[in-house]
Amino acid sequence: MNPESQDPRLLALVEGVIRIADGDLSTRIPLSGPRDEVAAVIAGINLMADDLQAVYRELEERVETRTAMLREAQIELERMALTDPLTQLANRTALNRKLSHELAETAHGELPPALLVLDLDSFKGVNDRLGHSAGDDVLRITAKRLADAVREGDVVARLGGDEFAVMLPKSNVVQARGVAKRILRALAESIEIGDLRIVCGTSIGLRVAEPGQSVDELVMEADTAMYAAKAEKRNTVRVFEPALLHARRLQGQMITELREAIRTDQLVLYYQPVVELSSGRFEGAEALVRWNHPERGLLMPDNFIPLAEETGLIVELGDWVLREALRQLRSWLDTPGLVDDFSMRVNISPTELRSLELIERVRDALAETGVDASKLVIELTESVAVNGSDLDRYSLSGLRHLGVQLEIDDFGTGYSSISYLRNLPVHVVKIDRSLIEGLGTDDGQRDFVAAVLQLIHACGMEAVAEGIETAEQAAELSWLGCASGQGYYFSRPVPPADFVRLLGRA
Amino acid sequence: MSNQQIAPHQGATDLGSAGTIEVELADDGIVEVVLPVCSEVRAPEAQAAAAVVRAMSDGRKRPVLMTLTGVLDINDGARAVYAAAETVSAFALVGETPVDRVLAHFLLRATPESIPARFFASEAAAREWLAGYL
Repeated sequence: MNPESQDPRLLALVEGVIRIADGDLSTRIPLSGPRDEVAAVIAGINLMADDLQAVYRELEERVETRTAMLREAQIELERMALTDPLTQLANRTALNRKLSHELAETAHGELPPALLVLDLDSFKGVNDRLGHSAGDDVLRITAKRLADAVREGDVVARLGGDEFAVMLPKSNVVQARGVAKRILRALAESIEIGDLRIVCGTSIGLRVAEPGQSVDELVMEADTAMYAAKAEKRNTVRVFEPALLHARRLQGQMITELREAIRTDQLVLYYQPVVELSSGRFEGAEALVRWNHPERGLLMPDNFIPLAEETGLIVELGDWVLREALRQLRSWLDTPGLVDDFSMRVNISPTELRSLELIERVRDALAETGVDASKLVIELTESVAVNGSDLDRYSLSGLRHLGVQLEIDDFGTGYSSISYLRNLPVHVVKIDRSLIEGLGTDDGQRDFVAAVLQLIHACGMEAVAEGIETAEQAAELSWLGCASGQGYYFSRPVPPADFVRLLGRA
Repeated sequence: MSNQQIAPHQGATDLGSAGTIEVELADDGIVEVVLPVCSEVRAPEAQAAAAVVRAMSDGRKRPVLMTLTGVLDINDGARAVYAAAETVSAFALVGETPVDRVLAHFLLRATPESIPARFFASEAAAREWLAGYL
């Protein structure tokens, strides 16, 4: 083939196709000469390059848009993974991440982070009494107050339930305590839920990180300090100290042991006689629980009831006490000549009263032992009787319908208002020992007790005095018209066998 | 009969863009569009032409006879304008050379499905076909 006779457009065509093949889609082959087949091929290739370029551009745009969407979704997912959905605060994962970062900075010579851990003192009650939606409102408002109380740069997180944490980067005890106090003040303000005003309050544990400490250790130690704060008194800040760890371990061990104790009958009941003051006759007994600990010996209720309350074990424990006391009463009633008109007093905690199964459990225990309901006296604290929720009132009226007698314990220690007394669904009022002290020696005290007794009688109730320690007190109370009493003067709480001996002597 | 000439895009620097698009409403009701010889047709002039076609249609759909004999190129912007035609009942694309045929077929591919479109080598055959879409 003669090169001179070759159409120069073919060469341009080859060059153009090569450039397009190399990826330069902007290449266009010049269209010149006659509009013959060669020109048609050139026009076609130019148009296909056009198309290809447009397709590529569109694809690139689409990839870019999709990538941006993916990135946004990823950011949102990450935010969700690190945010508490209810309060929009950081969650536990986010807090751990920040703590981890701060602890790593400490290793490079920066000041350590401080961690505050807190929970609301009476949140469970809010949820139980007002419902979960009110509970959620309280948590949201609390979250907002926490966020307002901290400094810029501090991290507020919700760890779960009503437990929150605040991380102060590069801090110290003085600073952290300052923030903690601001939080205490902020949470001591009442929260309005519908028509109600609620004050939750909080207890705060504070721990400034030590060099080399892990996130888990730091959180656990701040948490330990919080539990110590709660155990002391409400609305306090407690700074972590190593001794608290020991106490916490002991407590953890004790929870396990107590659960075991209820299951394996390590608990025992002691009985203190309740005496008819005019005659000295034993009209009943108050059942008082003790824990016969395999290693620590006989433990008094103060040593384990608060723990049982805190862990919810109190419901199980209370059930055990109720059944055992009724079983014992059945046994005494079945012993000829031992007791006749005799009642058993059992204490019940606010938590048990709130348990929906309470009435059923009492009914079952009475049915199983065949004890008449009127011989069971349930003692409640004054605060429950006065301040109780609808559920408490439901439980109380259910118990009354069973025929069980209700008695207010420790009367005179809590609420000074007397107008409520008439409306209480109770039969008997137990006058607190603090009112009895001084009786027999102090005339003023006698007048005061006389007035209290009159008040109780005016409300159509009977009175039992507790803490009677002397014959004078017993005589005085009897003279003032107090029907019954109990106290060391008559007998300390004693094991069942000793109680039987007391019954024999009475 | 109305006759309008659409000037090429003012900003165009390409030497190929030197012609005008002629738009005419023929007596038989067919809209005649003649693309400029030796020019590249781009979106602006295509849009201007499309506006004239729309105005001529006067609210009804009309058949369009588009002559692309000798046109240098119809870029993708201009093809997009063609593809968005609304007031056209049918397109007959007329050309003489192999280049015209290739260019026409790229346009045909872009024609909306609802508009019948064909390539013709003779104007008479095209007019005859378009008469069915008056």
